[in-house]
Amino acid sequence: MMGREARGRRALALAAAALAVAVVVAGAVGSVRIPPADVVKILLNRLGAGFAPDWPRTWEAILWDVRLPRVAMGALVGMGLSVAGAAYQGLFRNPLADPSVVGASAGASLGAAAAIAFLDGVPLLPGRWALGPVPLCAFCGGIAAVLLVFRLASAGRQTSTVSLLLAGMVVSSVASSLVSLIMYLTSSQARDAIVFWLMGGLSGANWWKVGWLLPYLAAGLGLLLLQGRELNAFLLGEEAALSMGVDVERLKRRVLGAGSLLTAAAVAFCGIISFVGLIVPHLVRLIVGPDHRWLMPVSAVTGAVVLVAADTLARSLPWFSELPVGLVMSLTGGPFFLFLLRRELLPRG
Amino acid sequence: MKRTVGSLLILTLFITALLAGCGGQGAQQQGAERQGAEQGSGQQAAGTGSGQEAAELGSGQQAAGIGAGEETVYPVTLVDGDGREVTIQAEPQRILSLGPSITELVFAIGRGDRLVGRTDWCDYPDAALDVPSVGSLFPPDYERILSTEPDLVLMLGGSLEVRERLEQEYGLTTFVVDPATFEELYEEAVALGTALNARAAAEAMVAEIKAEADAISTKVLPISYRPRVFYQVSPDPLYTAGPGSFIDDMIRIAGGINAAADAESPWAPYSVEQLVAANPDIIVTSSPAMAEEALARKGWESITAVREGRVIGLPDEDIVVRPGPRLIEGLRWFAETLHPGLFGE
Repeated sequence: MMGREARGRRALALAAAALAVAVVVAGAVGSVRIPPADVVKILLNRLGAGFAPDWPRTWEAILWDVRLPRVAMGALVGMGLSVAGAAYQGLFRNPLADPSVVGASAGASLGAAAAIAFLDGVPLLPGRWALGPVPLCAFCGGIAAVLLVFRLASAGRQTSTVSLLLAGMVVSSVASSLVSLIMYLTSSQARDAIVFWLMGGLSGANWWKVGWLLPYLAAGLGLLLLQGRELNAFLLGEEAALSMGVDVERLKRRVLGAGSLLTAAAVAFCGIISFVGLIVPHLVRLIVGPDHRWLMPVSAVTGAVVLVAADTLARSLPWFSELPVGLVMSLTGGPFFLFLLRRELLPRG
Repeated sequence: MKRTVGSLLILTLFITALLAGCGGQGAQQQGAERQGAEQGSGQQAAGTGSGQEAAELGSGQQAAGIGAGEETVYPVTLVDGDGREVTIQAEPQRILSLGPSITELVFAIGRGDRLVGRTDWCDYPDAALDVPSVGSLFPPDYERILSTEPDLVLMLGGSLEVRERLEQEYGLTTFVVDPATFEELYEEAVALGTALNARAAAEAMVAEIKAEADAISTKVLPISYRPRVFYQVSPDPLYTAGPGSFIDDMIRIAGGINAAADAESPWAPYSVEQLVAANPDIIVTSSPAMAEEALARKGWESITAVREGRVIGLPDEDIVVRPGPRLIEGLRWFAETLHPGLFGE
């Protein structure tokens, strides 16, 4: 019988190894094939190794300028959404919770749709760091929606998790109706752009966007990972957590704040990517158990692997030049979730 | 050991950056001087376009960097079809064309042998098919674009996002060629020729197109009959070619009147009611099959063109929709169709 600690450590190491493999495979696959060995050499050369470059010069440009920013973006987004999902499932003690339950995704959709329809192509900063209005409005929309939900669900100093879920549902559905309204009223070109955004994709990734995403992700991730012990206490119920000395209201604020930061930042650059935040925590829970101190870090790395793999699939299916990764994720994630549900989560008999 | 490698790397980077900085500055200065010195010859080239449009496009600068002869002196700064100044550092040897009309132009001015890439849509001339394709551009496949190692990317307008990405993220030089009228075609073809050091060939091509266009417009000038022509881009939803499109230009030069002159944009939706009210004498469709279909369409019976059976399909749509050298074939076709007595076979 392996201890919980050892099992967690082993799962984390395994996930990290899988991430390394996923990165190399993602680097090798594409319309220009690069042998995995050369991918590894080019990557190591960037880190200071001295392999003699016996590959075409363009491979480095393709790998470094086109594929890797995309892989990095996918990994970060997968990480953020999975950890947010794991923390929400713990906080709400609800296996159906995912990063979008408190309105962050729907709010971000509304912000993005409004930006696409009304603020066409206004760069906010000069040069390469230029950030279009879409990611900014999406981020603000996501955060604003969560603040609204929190406000609606609070009575005095207390916020019940059930009210949060209900308010989240209502705010989300109002926001998506507003998105429909915008789509109905706007030009067909903007409508196309909104539909495309809602499908979620990593094709616009570049190193500067990765740079934008990184601080938000680090902050959200760091804060959530620190709540592991208190989230564990929360699993026994709010009363029990209180009696164990957990400041439950503070915990709710921190988890919701950090989770929304992660979700809004991820969605801002990639559009809606569903299922990662729902499936990955369930999958990881089967392996490492419900201890959030291990569940969250292992979910982070596994989420990165899953999204990088899904995106590699999205751009290497032979019949299409490229599919939005959000679409691939829900096409493959849905059936996989059902499989998981039937196999592990339902009582056997 | 590791640290030594690291510091060496940083040192090398630093020196490279320094050198690159100096080089860039030098080239810029050189370019500026040249531009100043040769404004004169620039203005000469501007004489090819109509005065007003040329001034608008700033084509006085188009010819900056051209020596006394026809050879282009690099680096050269030109105004492209987007109205942007583009500096080309050295004579392009590896050209990537991202538009079928551009591929046709590049071949027409004798630089087809320098094409290293094209799109799936570039199917003319036959030699273009031997150039490797970078895909359909929907969506753009940046990996294949980069793998052609182009030193100049020629592209159509309207894809600002793609252009910014190619320039800012991948450091490529892009040049837009996307004329909307014959005058713009003349200017942009010469600018392209200058960029590719084939200005004489470009000017010869332009002169030929111009001569034929002038001959056609001179021939229809004394004729008072001006048929009203409707061009059907697509039947359902009904789209037409409005003012600002080449087709509108061609109908006018070939001695006709665009029945959809009130359309809002070069490619505009048009209602059937509008069409019936406009009552054109001739309807032109993109293919013969489309023409037969239009003749039999319910609700169109009252239109003069339909009643008189003058609904005619183009043999090849590309000669009117691709802003390239074959537009002159399109113009000839329009002239023969609108005034068969005058241009009879």
